[in-house]
Amino acid sequence: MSIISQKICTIGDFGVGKTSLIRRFVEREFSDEYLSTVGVKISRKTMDLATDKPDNSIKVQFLIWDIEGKTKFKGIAPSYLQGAKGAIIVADLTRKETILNLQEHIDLFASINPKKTKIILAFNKFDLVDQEKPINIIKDELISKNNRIISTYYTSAKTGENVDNMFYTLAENIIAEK
Amino acid sequence: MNDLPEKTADLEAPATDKLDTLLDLLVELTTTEENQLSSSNSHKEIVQSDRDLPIKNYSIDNNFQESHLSNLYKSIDELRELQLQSEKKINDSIDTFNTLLPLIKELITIKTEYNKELIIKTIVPIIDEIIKQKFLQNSQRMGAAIAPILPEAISQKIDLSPGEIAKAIAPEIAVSIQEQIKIDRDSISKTIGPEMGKAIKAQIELEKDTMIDALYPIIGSTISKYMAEVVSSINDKVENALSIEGFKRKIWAKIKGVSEAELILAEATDFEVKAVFLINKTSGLVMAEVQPESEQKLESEMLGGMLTAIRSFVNDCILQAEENTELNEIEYSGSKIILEVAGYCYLAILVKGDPSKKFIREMREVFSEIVISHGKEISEFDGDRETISPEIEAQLKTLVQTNKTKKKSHPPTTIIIILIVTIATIISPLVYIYWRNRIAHTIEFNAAIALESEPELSIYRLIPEVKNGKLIVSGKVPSDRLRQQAIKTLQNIAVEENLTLENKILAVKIPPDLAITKQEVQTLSSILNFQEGLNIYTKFNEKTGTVEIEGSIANNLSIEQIITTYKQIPGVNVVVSKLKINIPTITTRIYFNSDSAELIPKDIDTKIKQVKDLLDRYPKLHLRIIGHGDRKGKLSDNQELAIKRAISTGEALKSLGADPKRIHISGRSKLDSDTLSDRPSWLNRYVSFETFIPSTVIE
Repeated sequence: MSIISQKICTIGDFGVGKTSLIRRFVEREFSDEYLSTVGVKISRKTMDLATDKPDNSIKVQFLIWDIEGKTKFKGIAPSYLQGAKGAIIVADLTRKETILNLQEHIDLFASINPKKTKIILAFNKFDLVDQEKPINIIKDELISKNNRIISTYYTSAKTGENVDNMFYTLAENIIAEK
Repeated sequence: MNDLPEKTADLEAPATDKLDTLLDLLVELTTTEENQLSSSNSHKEIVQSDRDLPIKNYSIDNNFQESHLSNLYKSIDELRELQLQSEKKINDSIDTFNTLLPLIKELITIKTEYNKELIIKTIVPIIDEIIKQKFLQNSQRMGAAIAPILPEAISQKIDLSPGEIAKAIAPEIAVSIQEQIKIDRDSISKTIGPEMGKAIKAQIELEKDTMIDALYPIIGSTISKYMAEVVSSINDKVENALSIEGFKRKIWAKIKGVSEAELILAEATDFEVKAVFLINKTSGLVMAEVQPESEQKLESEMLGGMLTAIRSFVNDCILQAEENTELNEIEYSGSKIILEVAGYCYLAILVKGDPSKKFIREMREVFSEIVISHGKEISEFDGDRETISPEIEAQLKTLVQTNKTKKKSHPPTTIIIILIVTIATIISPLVYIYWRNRIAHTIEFNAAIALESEPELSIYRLIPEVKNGKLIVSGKVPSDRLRQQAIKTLQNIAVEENLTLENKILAVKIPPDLAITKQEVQTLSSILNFQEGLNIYTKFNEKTGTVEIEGSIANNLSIEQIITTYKQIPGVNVVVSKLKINIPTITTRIYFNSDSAELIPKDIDTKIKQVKDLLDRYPKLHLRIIGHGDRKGKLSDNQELAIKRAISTGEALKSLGADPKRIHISGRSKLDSDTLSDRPSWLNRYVSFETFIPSTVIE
């Protein structure tokens, strides 16, 4: 059984918890050493995905490019996004501006990868906010504007809530597209 | 409502009028229904008729309903009748039309001759309409019908007005190609590919400058990349020329008998390929890889990702000012990662050491071959390595294997060369010295043999020695003559061996051993006495070193030679010769007539000739010719006549070739002792001969 490798990216503003989400997902296959000069860290995680046929799973290897968050001094290097089949765009539920910046990140990713790419929005630090926080309007608006968004998740890198679900959903959607 | 009967009464009118009437009737009915609904709450349901007319529910009185329905049915029946009649008429008209067709054709032909434009103007819209209609009815048949004439039509049109055709189809070409690419991508490539080269060549010939401008960013980058490598290499070598490495290289070049440049090239091959990766340029996913099985494998996917990130970072953030430049290599502690980039992928080669230019060239060839042969699968790579041809991995392996072959053969060769050079360095001088000594020894041996072969020199200790290109002879001899003789003996050897002859022989006065001298004198005498015609004996005076030689010697032997031989004996200072020469005598007499000094002719051929022969046999022999006279007449006359007779004889000998210096003339008037006075006087008129050799004493 062959392994299908795919590049995905995590993008979002500085401090939204991208690295923590990846750390939670890839567990031991994670390096904390940032390639600080270059501004990207690459992690790897292999997943077994079920297929329509019984006893016939597919191994998908995610090469996750954790791209250093955008700050007011430094933008994201667009070329890092090239060749990615999917992206997890992360916002911090405790910082409204990171949610408002999501559209900008979506546009950047879509402009660089115009074909058949999948996006998941991760509203992170769900453990820190009121469960009833009213962001549904923004969320719905983003989904209606961007047909690449396949799903949105309230995630918590701290508790692990929805983290694996999110990555597996992305993997399944990418493989289904093939 | 009042109009309804009128409408029904017009059913005999043409079909269209009937239809209008029917519609009006329906409108009337509907209006009536609405009015009644608004005025009363009582409704009656009308069941839908089983006929195919749209019926609305309405509520009216029954009489009115029946009357109008009856009219309606009647109208429908009339309509059907009219439809059948119309169809019949149409069929009849087609037949009529078919009958008229030849006539119409003839009319059109005639009319065309007179007014062609009018005919065209009339017919063209009809034809357009017909084609449209036919195409809608059956597009395939229309296509089949038109297809055979299309090529010729297009060809004719191109000939007549190529510009128009170009203008017409130009906008469609790009779209057509795009569509064809969607349907079958390879077909366009296969069609255009072979002509691309020619087209580019032709375009270069037409617009060279434009092509240069177009290609410059690519070619310039490639050339600058290559030149940078070459210049860097040259700089390194120049900088190292005077270093220890440089001197080492020079020495090695001399030892190996190759140029320094070749050695530099060989040094450049001192590297090892550790791994080769073919990586997708944008995603960083590894498409193919070759890693040595013996070593711990690198995490290719992580490596591919990080290299791609670094490439992107450098290209975006550092090289962005310089277009078409690329990150070519990453160097780290004696190793480097070479990056060779193509359209959709790049090659990353982990190399320990400095790869040679040859390897870089090979790598580019292999990479170029991969890109050309597998461009499609590379460009369409989507993360599944199984979609990548195994040939790519095989081609990448050649890069590692080529290098391995070199590396495997390299160390033993180096070691062997080093060993050979070391041994040669140590042994060569020894061998050379041995060889030189052997040659010198041979020459010295031959020289000693040559000296031993000379009897006079053999008794002296003369030492030949070869040194510094010279044949040196040392020793002592008792005389300068022997010294020179030794040099003369060795001269040929020195010339043959290309040596300079140096004479260190000392000529010294050695006190002779008188006993030996005396013995040698006696030995020499004994040896000489073996010669025919020689009978000598010697006395040696030890005090004065004088040898006195007595005895007799044949006059054809050289007394001088004998004396010289004795003088060569060491200790002999003086040689006194008292040798007597055994001289042949001539008893022949030549007689003359009275008062005549004229030779008798027969004596010249016989006696004079015999004397001449004798003189020839004894070249040192001198001849005294003595003339004699009888006693008749005056004594003085006889004496004069006797001399004349001697002279005439001498002249006769000279005329036969005798040396005048060896002929001495003499005359006698007195009778010889053997001349008797009482004998006949003619016997006293003769010439006699005395032979002699002047005696010599040589010191």
